[in-house]
Amino acid sequence: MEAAFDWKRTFEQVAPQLVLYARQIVPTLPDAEDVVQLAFVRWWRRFPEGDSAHIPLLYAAVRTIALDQRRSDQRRVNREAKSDIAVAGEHAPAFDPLPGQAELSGIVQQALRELPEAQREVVTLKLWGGLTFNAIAAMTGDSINTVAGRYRYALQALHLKLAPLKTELLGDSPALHPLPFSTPTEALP
Amino acid sequence: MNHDPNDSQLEHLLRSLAPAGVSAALTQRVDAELQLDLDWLGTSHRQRRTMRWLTAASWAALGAAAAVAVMTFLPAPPAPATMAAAPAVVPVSTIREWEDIQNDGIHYSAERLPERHVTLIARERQTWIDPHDGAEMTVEYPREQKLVLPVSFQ
Repeated sequence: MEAAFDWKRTFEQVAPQLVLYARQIVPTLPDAEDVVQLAFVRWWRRFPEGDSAHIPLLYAAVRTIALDQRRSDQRRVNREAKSDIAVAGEHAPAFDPLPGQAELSGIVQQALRELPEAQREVVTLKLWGGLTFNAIAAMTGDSINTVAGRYRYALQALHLKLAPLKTELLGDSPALHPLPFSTPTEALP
Repeated sequence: MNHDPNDSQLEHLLRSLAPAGVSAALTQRVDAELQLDLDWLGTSHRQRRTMRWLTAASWAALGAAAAVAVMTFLPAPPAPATMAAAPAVVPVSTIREWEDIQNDGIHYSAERLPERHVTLIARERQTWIDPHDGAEMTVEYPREQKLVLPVSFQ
């Protein structure tokens, strides 16, 4: 019986981040929740002690299942029109903003959507998943330099998107003016 | 990898945004699925115990005992060459349950030393498994053991 409580504690800690990550791969919130359900149950059966050292494997499971689901969904979408629920799920809030963060939340969600998928994946795993570059590289099969580069370009893009808010959020320091790089999304996929 | 103070500021800002909480329905779905696992495990354990101790101890014991009894009266067929390499059955367990201890009284040995004779009555259950097909065979039979214990009178 004790194990039943343990999974809930672990699930509460990691599920929001997992759903956020899954949403970067599959189009709607219900799809992301399906992915997280499958991945978590599979992971918990394998690691019922919920050891945090195995959390990267949980993200890897989310990734695998989400990519599989997207492939099968793509085939379905090619046959059928999107339902209203699916369309609404694409725009469900990705964040739970504190008072005063509503605008920031909206801009970040939109900015993430506009990033190339590979950059979006890395920045989500690093910032909200808390994974290291090593763990992300092991998961995606890319080199650590590639992963770190994608992260850097993603941050630059987010920086530009958040520029209108920089005075009130980040302070108007000279270093926050447009960065001395080319447009971030041009350089890496 | 990331030493730019602006990046640190930005990372801090982004991290301050908490991902949206998951729906109660998702938690319930995971709960239901993991609960199914627990139910399945519980049922599986009960079935395993029942199979071992009721079915194996009754039907298999009766059948195997009858087979052993019949085979003792039959001439042994020549064993094929492969039988020597792998045993036909592998012993799995031997369980002995004591049922009674009979005191047969004091006797005197040839050297005229006093001894207490005791009879131990037990029931022994032996189980074998055929490694080729996994068939389990259990034989149960009574067993008597006589003990001679030296005694001294003061």
